[in-house]
Amino acid sequence: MTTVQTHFSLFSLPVVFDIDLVELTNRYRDLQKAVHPDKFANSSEQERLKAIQRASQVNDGYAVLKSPLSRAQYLLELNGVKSDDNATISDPFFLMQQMEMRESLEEASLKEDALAAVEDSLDEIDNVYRALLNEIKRMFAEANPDYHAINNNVLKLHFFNRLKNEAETLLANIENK
Amino acid sequence: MALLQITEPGESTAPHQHRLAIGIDLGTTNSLVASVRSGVAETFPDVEGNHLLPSVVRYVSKDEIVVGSEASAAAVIDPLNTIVSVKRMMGRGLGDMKSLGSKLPYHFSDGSSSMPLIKTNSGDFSPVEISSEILKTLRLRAEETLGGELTGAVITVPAYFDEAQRQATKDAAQLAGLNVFRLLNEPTAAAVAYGLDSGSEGTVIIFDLGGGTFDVSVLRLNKGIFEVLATAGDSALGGDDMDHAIAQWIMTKANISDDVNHALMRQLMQHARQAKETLTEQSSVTIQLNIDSETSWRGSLSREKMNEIILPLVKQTLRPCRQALRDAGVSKEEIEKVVMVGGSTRVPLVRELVGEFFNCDPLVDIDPDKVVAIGAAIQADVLAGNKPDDEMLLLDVIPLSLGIETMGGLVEKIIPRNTTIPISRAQEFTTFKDGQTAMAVHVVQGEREVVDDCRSLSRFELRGIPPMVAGSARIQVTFQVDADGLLNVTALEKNSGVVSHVEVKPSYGLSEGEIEQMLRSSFDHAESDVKLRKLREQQVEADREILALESALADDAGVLLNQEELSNIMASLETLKSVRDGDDADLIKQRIKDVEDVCSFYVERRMNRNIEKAMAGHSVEEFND
Repeated sequence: MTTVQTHFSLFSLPVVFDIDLVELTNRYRDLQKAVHPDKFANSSEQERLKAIQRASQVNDGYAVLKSPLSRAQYLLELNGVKSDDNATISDPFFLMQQMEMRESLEEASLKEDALAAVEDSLDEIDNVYRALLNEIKRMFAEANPDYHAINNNVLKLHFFNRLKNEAETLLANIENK
Repeated sequence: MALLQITEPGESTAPHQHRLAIGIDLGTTNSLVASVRSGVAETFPDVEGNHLLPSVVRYVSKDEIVVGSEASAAAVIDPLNTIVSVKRMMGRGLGDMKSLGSKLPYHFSDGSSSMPLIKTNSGDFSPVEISSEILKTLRLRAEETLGGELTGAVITVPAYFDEAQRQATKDAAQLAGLNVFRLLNEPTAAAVAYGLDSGSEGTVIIFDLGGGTFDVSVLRLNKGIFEVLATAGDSALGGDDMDHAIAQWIMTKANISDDVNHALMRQLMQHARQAKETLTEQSSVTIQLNIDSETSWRGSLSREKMNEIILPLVKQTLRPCRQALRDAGVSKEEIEKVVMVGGSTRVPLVRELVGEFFNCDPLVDIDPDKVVAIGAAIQADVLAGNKPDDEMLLLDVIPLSLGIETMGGLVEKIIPRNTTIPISRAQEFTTFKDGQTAMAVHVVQGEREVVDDCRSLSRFELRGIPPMVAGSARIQVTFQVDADGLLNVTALEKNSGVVSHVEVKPSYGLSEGEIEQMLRSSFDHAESDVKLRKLREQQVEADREILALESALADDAGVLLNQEELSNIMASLETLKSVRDGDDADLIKQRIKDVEDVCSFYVERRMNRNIEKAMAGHSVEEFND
């Protein structure tokens, strides 16, 4: 095994965006059963420390590959494009769209039947999110992917992901009342 | 075969010898110890037959410390020297003690330690030392029952315990002479006790309502792997509050004013508690109360009426339940089982309401007071190596985000909460002055953005940075959280490859020096004893190293090592063995280090081989098909 290892090679996975998540989880479990420090409770101190390091790598790799957003960012990074969460996007259509969605979420939360309205709003955000994710998947699968173009979409995906989280928190607060 | 030469006859333990290991539930109110004997996990009673050890320590005099019910009985007459609920003080600072306020009658001494010390007439003691007395009592109980020396212990902690609280618990165990295999989250232990790992798949709730605290956790089980998805609770809600509500009802009925004296209040609470317990079996109970020498009161309480009284309290548990579900991203419908933990879950109304909320019958077959200790014992048995074929693996998450202080007192998150552990994250820092050779990193835990709103864990001082122009040093600091949720920090200057020395200053904990000091003073003060103990420690370490290495070599030396590598390793091993029975602790320590240095590449290869074996049959190509 070489010292330069990617999350993909650790899990014996091809370096692609569209991975089989069930298979990823199965391999994650197999790897943890092989390196988790609990399996080395009676080993030397040195071996236990090594196990902690390896189990950390496995956990880290699994977390990165499991989420489509972090997986996309990681793939971009492997291809030399640093994806910065806080970068600004200047696409006017997108800026308009995000403003409208934010407003409609806010309006929904003030309606009489806020629960249903916010749920509808969340569904809408989710649809846009999924569509964008599919587009990213398609772009990664191209023969010569345009990583900078993908990065633009990943940044947008970031935004919709945040908006989704906000909507979910809003929903939870309404339910709690 | 080559491996026959490796182990000399009579030197290594028989591979299938049963190793003695225990599980300890170190509770706020009561503690228990359990172990697996002949395949059955059971808690151990004291000589009087009590399984529960009240978590109370009384410092009677310089030479006498009592733990348990005897100490508990003295809490009223000797409150300042009798420490109750020490678990609430673990890993906390003096400021926290003050905010716990009037609940704590103790006098604190500032001391030189960052940990609060409680003043007693036998001296000042830290919560770690006080806890270690409880653990020591349980250790002795287990050793007597099992009739031998213990290999190790699993100790349970609440899932929400932060790093400082976990470290304090581990320190206490070390002080009590226990080898800690693992700190295990209480809800995980409860799930293990019910054997939910065997064959089942799904999402379960662990509902833990004790005397003074309430915790609820969402766990996912899959093929022997347990994952804590989320946890929530109320640190001031429990059976004591029910007793209090019932006592209030009696007071109204018996026309007792609110400003009752202490003795009567205790009597009231006792009656309330008894009534509550009786009503778990019966539909009504008669209460007979002597208010003073002349007046008494007699009345009856039905289960229906009691339910009415405690309903608001029981309902309060549902909010954290919703919160935990939400954090886990799981709906109520997905919950397949609910495990009941803690004495207060015996109350029928609690079972009823919880069953209704999750729409399933809660699991109550195992004594709710013992279930956590039993689960810990099962895990200890596995970790001791008594069940080599066991597939069980417990994966815990970090309950609170770890972060570091940045400019302006803000927090930068390094490891977000609910990340599966062990985990490590590296962060790069630089110097801001020419020739700067040291820097400090302040680590905090919590979800807030301002340092002052989070818990301060520790300050790490990095020393030995090579002097360079400001901004040109690249210091990579690695934050490693182990499977127990404990943090370790290492630092490396990347240009020069110089490893900085990291000095840890825990905010509310003990430094290594302080622990050593306590270990010393807890044994005889004579110089020779300290030496003897140090020697014994190194011998135990050496034995562990020898045994581990021999079993590793027997396992895979043939596959992983060539003749030269094997003979190098064997030579270092022989050198260690030759000093093992000597009386020079430092020399043994040095030889252990030598073995580790020689074996470093071998350990790496072994770990890689484990990974390759786990991934055997999975190739990238296969996946592409």
